Amino acid sequence: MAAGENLHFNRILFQYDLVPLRMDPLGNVIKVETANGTFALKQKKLTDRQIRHLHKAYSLAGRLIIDAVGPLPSKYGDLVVRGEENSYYLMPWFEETVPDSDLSERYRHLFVRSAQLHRQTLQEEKDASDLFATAAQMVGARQIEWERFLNRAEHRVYPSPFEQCILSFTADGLNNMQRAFAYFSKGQEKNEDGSGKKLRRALCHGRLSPLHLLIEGEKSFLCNFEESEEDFFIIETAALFEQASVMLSPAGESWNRLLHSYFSECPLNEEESEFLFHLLLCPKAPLDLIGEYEENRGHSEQWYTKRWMRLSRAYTEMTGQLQQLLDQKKKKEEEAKKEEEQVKNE
Amino acid sequence: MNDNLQILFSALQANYHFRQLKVIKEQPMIVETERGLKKIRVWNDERLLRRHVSWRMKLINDRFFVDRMYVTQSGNPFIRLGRFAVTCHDAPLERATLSGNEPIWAETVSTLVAKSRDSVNNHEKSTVIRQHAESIFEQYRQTGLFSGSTGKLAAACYPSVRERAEQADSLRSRHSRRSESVILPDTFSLGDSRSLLDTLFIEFGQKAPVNGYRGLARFFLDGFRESGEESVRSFFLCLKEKGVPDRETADLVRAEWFDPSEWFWLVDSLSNASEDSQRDQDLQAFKTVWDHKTRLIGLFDSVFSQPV
Repeated sequence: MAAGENLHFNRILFQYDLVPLRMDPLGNVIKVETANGTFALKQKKLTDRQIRHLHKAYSLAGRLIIDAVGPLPSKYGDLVVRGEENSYYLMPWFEETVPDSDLSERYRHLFVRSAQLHRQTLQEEKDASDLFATAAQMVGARQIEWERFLNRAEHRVYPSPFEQCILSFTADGLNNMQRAFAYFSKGQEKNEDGSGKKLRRALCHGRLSPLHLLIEGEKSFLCNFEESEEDFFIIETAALFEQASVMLSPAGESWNRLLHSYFSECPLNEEESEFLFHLLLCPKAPLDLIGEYEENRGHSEQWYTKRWMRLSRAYTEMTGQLQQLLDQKKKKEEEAKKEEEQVKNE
Repeated sequence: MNDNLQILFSALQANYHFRQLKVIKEQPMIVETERGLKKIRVWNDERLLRRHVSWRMKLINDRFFVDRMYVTQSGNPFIRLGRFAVTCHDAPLERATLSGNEPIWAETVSTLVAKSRDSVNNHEKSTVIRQHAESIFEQYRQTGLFSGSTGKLAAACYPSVRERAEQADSLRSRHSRRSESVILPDTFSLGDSRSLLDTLFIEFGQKAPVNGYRGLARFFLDGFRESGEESVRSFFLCLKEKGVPDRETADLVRAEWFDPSEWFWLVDSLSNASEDSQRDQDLQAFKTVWDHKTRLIGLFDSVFSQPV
């Protein structure tokens, strides 16, 4: 590090009464070794809003409501040291035991941690008809995108192999979208008394990713809470499932375990399960691939075809497993109900 | 160790987690800890303390340090001890000079001018200084205090003094209706500023904030005396790059220089019958300040091209 830069960091560390013995920049984090221990100094542009979110997460972690690694306060009580260009915060250093590349292990921890985060910060149910409306709108828009593409592809005398691949998938895809659209449209309707469907809210991390997690042995902690905010958490769950399905494909058995680990930490009610399932019926990744194919085509035809196959496999795998799981759950509930009734009748 | 100190020490240890504490200096209290030297301040006015806390909050930046309060384990900026409050601050020792630090001083001063502000409610009276000079002059002339050699010189200076007083009044009257003013601690001075990690450490202390233009004028004058004309020129040039000072600040700082306070001080010393050597010293001090102010105003005007 240059001398001037060093001095700059020394000034920031002075606010924690720390004198660095050694500083190693690792990406946007600086590993700082001091006589009082090792720390990670994070350098980032932060807005007032993001700083507020960090404060919220810090106070929740401080009250042991969530298990997270947040910033350490400076001796003046600031969680974030604000500079003209960048802001800084200090965290304890974790010697990570799982490499960034070991995605399946990282997702295993992430599913448990995010489920715990949602579960621990659960709020009461709130009217979600606006959310249903937004979801319906989103599905509608995706449907239109699909149809446009199909329209173009179908009218070609010789569709490309990639286009052929998609055409063979169309019937199922569009069918699923229809289902989802019908579900969300119905959900946005309000009852006669003006009340609509309700979903639970919770603190959402905002940037769940296998890299925003520190893992040391069996211990793991969520970090990077800048975008955390209270919201209908099912949206974040769906995004996490979709992300994992794309990143881990083919996940096979482990996928089933992932879903189980989430649901056992954060059991969903019926409405949430339905919402999640229908949201996952219309994934975004295939559309992004189609868009990329049509606009840029930066790779070979074969690359796109392979990618498509992988995505569609991952997608079928996920929705299949999820459906199975939800069916099992329903069955169990029904059986439980029957038993209850029998007990009553007797 | 007396009881009070014992109580203070155990409060400091409990609230700031200091393991070792040793008094190095009594007034203001500086203690040595395993985390370096710390300044301990005792407050008996909590409202003033809270005002100081929020004043420092406004000035948080990553270019220079201010003597912010440490927070206790529970996150409070002070400890309550009976009817007193106790705060803990950094206590760097190395003095900061102007020469060699002109750019960072310029940044600091421009931040202070921009952010260290508060509303003013006292209506300053214009023409006060000129009237004061006139009445003092008349009074001393009638009592014959302008008789000795020093007295004669003081009397000979009177027309210039009156002229300067008039200028100071006119500059101030232009801004007498302002709603906001730069505020600084009464103790703000070059001598009390410290150097820390290649930047500045400004002490806000614990006195009530006062009109900051006087502090700024005194600071410039101290810099001129200590570091010389060239250093002040380069400091002014750095300030000018940042668009500081604005018209109001420039006028009010110049008014402080025009204000012939050194003359009042000199005539005041005439009436206190003292030895000749003392009078010579007073006279010398007057001449030096007068001369420095004249040269500083000239330098300021040449850099900022202000019409007189």
